[in-house]
Amino acid sequence: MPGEAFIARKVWKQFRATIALSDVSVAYGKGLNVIMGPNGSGKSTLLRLFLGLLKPSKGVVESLGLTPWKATDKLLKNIGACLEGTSLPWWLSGIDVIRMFASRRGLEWARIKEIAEELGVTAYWHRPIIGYSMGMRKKLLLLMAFSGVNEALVLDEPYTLLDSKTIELVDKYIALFSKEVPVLLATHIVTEGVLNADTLTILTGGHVKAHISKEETGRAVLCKVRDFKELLNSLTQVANKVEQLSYRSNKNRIILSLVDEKFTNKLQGVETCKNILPGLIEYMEYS
Amino acid sequence: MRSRKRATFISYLYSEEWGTLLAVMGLVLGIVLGIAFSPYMSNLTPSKVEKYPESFMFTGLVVNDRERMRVLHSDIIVVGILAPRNTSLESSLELPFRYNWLVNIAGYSFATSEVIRATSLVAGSRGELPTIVVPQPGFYVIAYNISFPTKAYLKKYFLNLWLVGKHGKVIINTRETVILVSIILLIVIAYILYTNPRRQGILGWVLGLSVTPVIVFLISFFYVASVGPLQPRLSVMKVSQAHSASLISTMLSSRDELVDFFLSSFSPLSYYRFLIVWGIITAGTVLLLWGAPLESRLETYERIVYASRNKLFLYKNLVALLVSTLPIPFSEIGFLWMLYPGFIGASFTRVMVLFSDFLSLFTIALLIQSLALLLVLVLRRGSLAAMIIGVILIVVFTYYQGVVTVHQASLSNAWRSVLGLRSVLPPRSAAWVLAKYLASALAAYILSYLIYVRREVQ
Repeated sequence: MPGEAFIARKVWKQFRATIALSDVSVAYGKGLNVIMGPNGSGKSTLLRLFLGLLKPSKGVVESLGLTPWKATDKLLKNIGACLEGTSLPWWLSGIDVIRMFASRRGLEWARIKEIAEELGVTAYWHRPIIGYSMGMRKKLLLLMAFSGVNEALVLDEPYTLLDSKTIELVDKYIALFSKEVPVLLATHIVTEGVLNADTLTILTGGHVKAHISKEETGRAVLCKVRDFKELLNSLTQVANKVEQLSYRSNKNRIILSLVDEKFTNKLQGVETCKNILPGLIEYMEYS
Repeated sequence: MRSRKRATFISYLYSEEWGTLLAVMGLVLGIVLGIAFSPYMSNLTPSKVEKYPESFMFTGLVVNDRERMRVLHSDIIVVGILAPRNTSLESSLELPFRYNWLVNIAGYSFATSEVIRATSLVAGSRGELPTIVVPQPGFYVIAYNISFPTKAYLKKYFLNLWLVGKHGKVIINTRETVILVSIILLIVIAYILYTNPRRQGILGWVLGLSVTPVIVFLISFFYVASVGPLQPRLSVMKVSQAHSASLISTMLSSRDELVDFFLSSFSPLSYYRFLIVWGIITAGTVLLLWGAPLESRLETYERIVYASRNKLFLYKNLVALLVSTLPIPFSEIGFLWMLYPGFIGASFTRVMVLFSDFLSLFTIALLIQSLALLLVLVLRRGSLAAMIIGVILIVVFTYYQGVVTVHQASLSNAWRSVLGLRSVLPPRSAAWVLAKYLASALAAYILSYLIYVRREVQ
């Protein structure tokens, strides 16, 4: 797996009697790498291993060419990270926390302010954190993560607690950063951004259930529906070519797993169709 | 535009504003002062006159009557009084033989430079001595020069002392009002500076470092002033060598000794109770920064923001040390200023005596904090470490009060010796005493560091 930024080879992580990860082997490079799985499946543990906040019980972990737990300081200086369960110093204002972070990292204040304004953090960052809602705190953490991106971005459940508008913004930043650097994203929620994933890892009970990349397969398509009647008519004509079908009514989206992706040209009543990772369908059905 | 703010070790408290440090120091100071002065505050409402009896036994010189020495022998008993308003010192002398004893009493008030004199001839074996009325609150030194005839076969005598006074209510007079207003003004200024967006940079630092001690000092001053009528306290020492000069001139010429006497008898540092509570706060600071649930939840944030484990280790320990030790000298100075106005023009020696006391506390803090840190890192659970440390300190508080006082005194003496001040310890012993403490603390810190760098953030 040369050239990959984050590599785990036969990694085990045990917390006393609990085995959080068992024999996990994955590799992530530039682009959006999504890790999904139910609660307690080991997603956060894997991310913390990549950041060097945890040491593997067995196996090899590499991040940006370094052994993470030996070079945590260097990694944390170069990676924008938003981890779940991170508490903030509630007795300070948000702007103090961000200034502190900017000072430590030597970051451009103008750039930080720009992101903060877009996320809507500036509206409340002069107030003490103790008065923030969970969503407001999350946005502050995301601001730190996006501001701190240098060589990679690591996000653990970035969508939880956020409103739909902010989720779209987060997706926008993820898409932006994934063009430049490796982005690791652990989430339960399948958003528009997640649908653009370059790789998908599904973890269950500390095992890698599936590890799919865009290069390997691209037969699943996500279509934005303009007219369902028209689509259904066209689907009946190519019914034997459709393997799976799932439907998200809230956004007029339909996901199809086709035997041959060329059939998307024959679909009527759709505005656009794009390839997505087939594993996502499975996960969406699960969730 | 790059952020103009420079992160420093104080910023471990997550704010580069000195206001945070001020708040924490103020809190620590409040607790420490509250405990230190609590003995004086048992009753602040006007009450009936009470007697605070103290009896002291002294062994006098054994004189061989055959030699028929013509020179009078005398013992000088120096009594230090920390007195509220309208307090008086009553005393009597009990003698083993029926002789005539001459007692010269001389007092000096450090607050008003007032001199009190009285002479009494005690006939027989027991005699009441003149009552000394303390005109206003403050620290007084009263000396009893007890002269006895050379023919006496003197072995023991008793000097009975009673402080008679009453507690009074807290009276805030003009001086305290001015101080209170000053404090409020300073806090307002501090708040304005804190919230001013242009507070960044060196200006904030300079203001922070200069204003903070002033505020802390004024708070402690106000605190001492506000508890004005203190519960009377008394301490006694015996000066074996009689001076040929008058008692007053003797006292005035040996002010440094008297200040030492004051520091060792009346200052908060001389109370084991103060030391124990301060020790608990010191250990508590470490637990709060390293082991409390608050800390473990914040650890991910710390690591992400600081991205340097070594610096974090250093910052946390420095902050813990400074927060728990810096308020002490300020409260001590406030205490002295209130009770001994002459301290303002104190000699370098006196300041150094105070400094040596601070260093001794700092050394104790190093040891307590390093051991608490080691414990919390080994156990990985702040609550368990807090419980163990709490039990240890309660045991010390209950059963080993003397040990605490002795250790503090030996350390204080060791630092005095190092600073070239008068000390009861020879230089070599002083070095050994300090080496023991410092080496133990250093070893605990090194072990803690080795554990810390291997610790995972969960």
